[in-house]
Amino acid sequence: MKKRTIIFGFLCAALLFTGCEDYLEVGEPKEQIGSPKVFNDDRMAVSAVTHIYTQMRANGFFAGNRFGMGYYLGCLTDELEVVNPQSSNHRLFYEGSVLAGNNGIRDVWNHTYKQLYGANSVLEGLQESSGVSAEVNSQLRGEALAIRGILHFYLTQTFGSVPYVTVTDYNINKSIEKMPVVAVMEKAVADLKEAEELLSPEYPSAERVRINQRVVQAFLSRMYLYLQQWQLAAQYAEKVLDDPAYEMETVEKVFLKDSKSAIWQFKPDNPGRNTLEGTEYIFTVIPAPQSRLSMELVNSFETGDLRAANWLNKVNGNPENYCAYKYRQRSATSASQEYSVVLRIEEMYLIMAEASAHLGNTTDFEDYLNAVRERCALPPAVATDINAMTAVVLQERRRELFCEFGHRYFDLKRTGKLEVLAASKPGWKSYFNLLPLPENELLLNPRLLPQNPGY
Amino acid sequence: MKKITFAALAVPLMWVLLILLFFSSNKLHAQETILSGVVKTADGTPIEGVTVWQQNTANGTQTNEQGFYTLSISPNAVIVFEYIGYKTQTVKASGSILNVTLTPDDDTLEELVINAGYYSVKDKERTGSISKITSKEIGQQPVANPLAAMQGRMAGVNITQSSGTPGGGFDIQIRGRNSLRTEGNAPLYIVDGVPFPSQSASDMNLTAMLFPSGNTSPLNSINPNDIESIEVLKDADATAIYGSRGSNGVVLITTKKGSTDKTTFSVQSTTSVSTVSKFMDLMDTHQYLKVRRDAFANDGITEYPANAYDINGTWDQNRYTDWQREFIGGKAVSHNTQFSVGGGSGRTSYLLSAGHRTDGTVYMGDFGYKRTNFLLNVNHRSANDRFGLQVSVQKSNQNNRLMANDLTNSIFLAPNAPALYDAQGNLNWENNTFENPAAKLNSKYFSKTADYTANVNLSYNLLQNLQIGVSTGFSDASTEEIVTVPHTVYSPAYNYTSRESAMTKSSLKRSSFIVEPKVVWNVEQGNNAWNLVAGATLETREQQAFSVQGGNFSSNDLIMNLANAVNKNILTDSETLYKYIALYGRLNYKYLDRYIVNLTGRRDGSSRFGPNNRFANFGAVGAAWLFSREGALENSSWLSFGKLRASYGITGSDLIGDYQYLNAYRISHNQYDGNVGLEPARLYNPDFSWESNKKLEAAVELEFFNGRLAPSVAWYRNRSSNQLVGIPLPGTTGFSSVQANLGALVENSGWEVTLRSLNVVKENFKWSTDINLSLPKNKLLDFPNLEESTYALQYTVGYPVFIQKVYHITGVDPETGLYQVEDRNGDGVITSDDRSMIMNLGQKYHMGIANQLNYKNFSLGFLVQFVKQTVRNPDYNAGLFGSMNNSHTRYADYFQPENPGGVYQMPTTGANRPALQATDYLRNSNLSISDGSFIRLKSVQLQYRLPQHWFKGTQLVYLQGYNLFTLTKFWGSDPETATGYLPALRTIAVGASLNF
Repeated sequence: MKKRTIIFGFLCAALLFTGCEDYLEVGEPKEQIGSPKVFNDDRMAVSAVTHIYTQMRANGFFAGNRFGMGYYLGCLTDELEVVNPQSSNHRLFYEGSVLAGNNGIRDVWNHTYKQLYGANSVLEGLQESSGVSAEVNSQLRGEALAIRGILHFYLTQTFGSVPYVTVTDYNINKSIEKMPVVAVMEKAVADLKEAEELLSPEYPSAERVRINQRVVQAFLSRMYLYLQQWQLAAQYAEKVLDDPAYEMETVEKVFLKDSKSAIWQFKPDNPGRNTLEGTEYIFTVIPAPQSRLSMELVNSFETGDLRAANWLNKVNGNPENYCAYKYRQRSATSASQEYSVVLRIEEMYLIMAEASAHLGNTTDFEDYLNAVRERCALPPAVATDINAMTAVVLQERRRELFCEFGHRYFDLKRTGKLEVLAASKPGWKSYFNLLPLPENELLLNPRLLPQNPGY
Repeated sequence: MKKITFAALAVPLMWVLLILLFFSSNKLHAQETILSGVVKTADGTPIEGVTVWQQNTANGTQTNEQGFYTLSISPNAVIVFEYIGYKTQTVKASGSILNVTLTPDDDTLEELVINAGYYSVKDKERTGSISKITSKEIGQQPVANPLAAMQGRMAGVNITQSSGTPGGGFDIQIRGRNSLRTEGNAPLYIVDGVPFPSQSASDMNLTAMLFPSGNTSPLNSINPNDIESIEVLKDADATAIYGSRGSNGVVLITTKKGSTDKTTFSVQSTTSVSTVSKFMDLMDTHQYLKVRRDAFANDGITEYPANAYDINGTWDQNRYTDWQREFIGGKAVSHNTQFSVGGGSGRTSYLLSAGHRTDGTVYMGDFGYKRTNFLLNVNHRSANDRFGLQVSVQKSNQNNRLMANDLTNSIFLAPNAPALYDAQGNLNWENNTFENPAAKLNSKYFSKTADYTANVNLSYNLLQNLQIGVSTGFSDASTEEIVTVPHTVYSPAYNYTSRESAMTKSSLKRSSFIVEPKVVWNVEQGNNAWNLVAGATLETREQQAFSVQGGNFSSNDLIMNLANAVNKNILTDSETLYKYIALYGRLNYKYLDRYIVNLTGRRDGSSRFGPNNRFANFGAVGAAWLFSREGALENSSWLSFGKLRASYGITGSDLIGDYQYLNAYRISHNQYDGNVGLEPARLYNPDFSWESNKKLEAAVELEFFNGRLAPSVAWYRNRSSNQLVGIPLPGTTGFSSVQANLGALVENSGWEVTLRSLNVVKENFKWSTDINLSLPKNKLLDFPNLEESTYALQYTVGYPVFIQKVYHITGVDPETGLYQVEDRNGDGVITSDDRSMIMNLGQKYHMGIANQLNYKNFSLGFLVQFVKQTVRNPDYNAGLFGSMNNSHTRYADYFQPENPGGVYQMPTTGANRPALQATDYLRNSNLSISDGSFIRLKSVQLQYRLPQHWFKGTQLVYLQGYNLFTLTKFWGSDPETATGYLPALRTIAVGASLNF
């Protein structure tokens, strides 16, 4: 009896433990999919790329709300006046009290590098894959490279020397070193040029919501402008200007989703939704919940400028309370009416004008600049010497591009005129030409030291 | 190889059952004898209702009015006599008559049996470190969560309540912080043999504004009144049998069982009122406005700007509201009702218990928590006493209805801010100058949790000394949470409509299945006794999470119905599977009743690791020497018991979440251009593996003067290595951390002292005291390449992992009026390199002193808790002093030219950048850490037992208090609770318990 029991016992135990290893096999959970599989399928690979767009739309340099860098820079410069007395990140920007520990800065930084990780992950995934069709492969690689170049461009313009990340390996990226601005710009240009090769002038889908060759060329034009390589800036602007798909849009229609001047727009997340900018900038009662347009900006418009009539809104008839009214939909509509515009053809006109001025081509300068002015019902501008010409363009850019992802800050900075802000901003310091590197980042990766001067 | 499925698992189970049936039908040999006797007190009075049972079985009966009992027992059985108020006696039966004299309960450890999970052990003979509390202590406290009932009562167990909001969470650390990750410190909870989840079931995206880290305690579903005992296993000897899951200790919860033949009905009802135990001392309007005026003056602003509403005349400057009392000053009324019936006949006993609890909140607004519990326990033994069955079924429903934001963080509102509501009862926005925090109350949180667990325990004595058994458990838990954000939470200035209203609904379903067969073998040969337990575990846990967000509703009236949302986004739709398999064994050897060696081992496999790292071995050795049983001491008049014990072993942890080793993309809910995004799920590291914790312990346990005084001292040293952590990474990696094993070696060591004293033992008056004292020490022993790692600024070798590196503020600079920070590296500038002053955060010791006094029908029990610790004070979250936020009255001593000795820097309105920088330093300085020690009257119960000649049975009325009184130098609100959330509450309760 005893023996039988023991045998049975062993039998049971043996039965239980055959295939322990197999028992622990849990496979993949249904909301995750192995990375290699993603890049073996056109549709999934596209989803990996479109995800980066959703991230850019929501966070970092291109978020249209008050947590995006554009809003912060608007507060830092003379575009926005923060009315809400409670402490907030944008208020700190407005008061010139940005510290290295500012979590708005930390978030923009982290989100941007997360977007870069996404781009690098796509590039690595596509490199190892064979399952994605050649056409989609080059389109996606082009988009990823473009995103990588553009984001690094914004990073270096804002923070100065920054790391240029080209791989996903955290062992490399966790102790990566900073690269001087010149080098970052060089690499960004190289990435964009490679993207230009890979992309076609056609958009991969029906709307202008993904990066095509023209987007890349427009950005290259802007980068060369920042690099003061006027010839190249003009050359790339022309490539876009020559494309009949784009034409300058009447002032009322620029920010509509069907705008002909748009080169790159963000599509809202849900049908019927409009833009983050519309929700953030518009207010209808005073005091404004967060901020209003600064009177410096409002007063910079010439009389009769259609943009002043259309893009500024005097709230409750109060002469001190204007809100940005480029986007007019605060909330959802039955179908989306407005898309957030990242890049548009009017900027190319202004780049052409500015580059031409530097290249001594007065005719082109006047043609392109006045084309922009004419559409706003303004008389042609006249300027003779280079300083006057660049000053006119700068002023025109201010009025044309306000509240669009920090143009004012970058324009003042690249033209060496940030100091003009000292007049209207009592707390202005010359070292605001760079924002501080996030403090936590320096703690985690001491190779990013030293901190930018002043912080 | 084929995959093991449920069928493959069921086959061997079926075999086990078949064998059981085979033996129970064939082998009905009646080796049993009938035992009878009388149970009396020392003066010869027979005692009625004494439970008499055969040890380690469910075979039992009760004495009748004459104190007489009969019981059929197996030969040489050990018989236990148990009666409330008397010492439990354990006697080995020989012959057929056994008369017993019970002596009054002096609360001694005499033959106390401790549940060690897979086996039980006599308290005196245990080799491991196990603390225990019973229903007696638990019942003294009007608390909703079992963890709250344990607070302060066990050495080495540190429990803190993280929020006073009903349904909130607790942090528990058993013998210090082993893991650098907070969630990696959770112990293993076992309820009636079935593992209970330690992770919060709440969707953090919904509840982070309500509970710290969105953490709710899964143990909320257990009614403390249903618990018979809670045992905490601490050292290697006790926990190694739980292998990979024992690293942080094991909490065993045993529910009450029906133990009588007589049917007993019991009704208990308690009503309590809770309030915030301590408010902060905030400035009144007069003090506040002075600060503001000085702030503007310091900034050189003479004309108050248009948005300085508090001071420029927009708001009434004579108004004063104590916002703490407004937002969290309410009285939370709770009702707890419990009904139970227990009884049985012969070989079967049962207990059925049902409870209902409602909790109000101290917040303004109509919110509350409800819980309903149901418990059924059935025990049965077959007529031949070989087959035993235990079934336990628990069901609980919880319903929580709260606001989605804890308003505690709004208490710093300017004290002259306008009224929250106008005369008509509408929200007052004071012409858009006031961000009314009461609007947040429109955003609501609803949660429904339903738990169901069932546990079946079968055992069969194959031979007299060989028992086989199988324990199976199922559990199902579902949590559904809803957070509504109607457009009315925003200022009307935004002109929003219900198009902007949103709602998120998350559900989490967990189900688990566990089967644990085991074999127990006992051999006694002369002076040698062997006990062998061997078994296996197969466990599967499945978790399904689903979360939908709806936006754009026709009306806020329809906000609870997703069908009405124009936009619906599925945020989460996931299913995770966790599988676990193990073999364990325990061999206990006893020589001469005084030398005991205990060996335990376990081999574990967990699906949480990559295919190459799934298995690991754990084990421990423990030994005890009961030196008081040595000849020389055996008849000592003063030393009644003495034991030395020691243990060493390795346990582990796999608490890292599922699938972390996969290189994968995950579905992101974001849509773009007709595609739903796929995002990289994590940084890929397939090679992380088990973390291990080497535990060493030595202890001495003594009893003097027949148990009147029982001290014990234990020393332990746990070394945790190969830690599984999310190693923090800089943002440039795209992620904030990566899952990996860290080479760091963390040591938790310490002393634990307990003392039980029976101060007075008289017929009518008894007084006993229990003291537990823990002196934990934590040290980072080794950290290869710390300087190079991302932890460089957080840790220093040789110091505890609780340290904070902070700036050293030496005072206020009389020239700038701002905090002066010490330039510690002497480079002339203040940078993060100067953040090098080491401050210790954490506990130096904690102690609990419990007293129990009985005088005639009165009994008084109270627990005093002593905690010596340093904590973050509210300066850690300090806003800019002088901005439109109220401050603690401490700040009244601020720097001004007329007060050059001020402790706090001069107020400024925000334009002063160095002042902001200095505030940043303050948050991370020595000043933001202060003494958070406290002495607290944790719980008090005064109970009166109605005279028996009035009613039959035990009828009790009682008055209870919880967190009644706190002595502390801490200047924040409650030294226990995280700043910014509702502090732990003070409760006064009254109730009655009727048993008949």
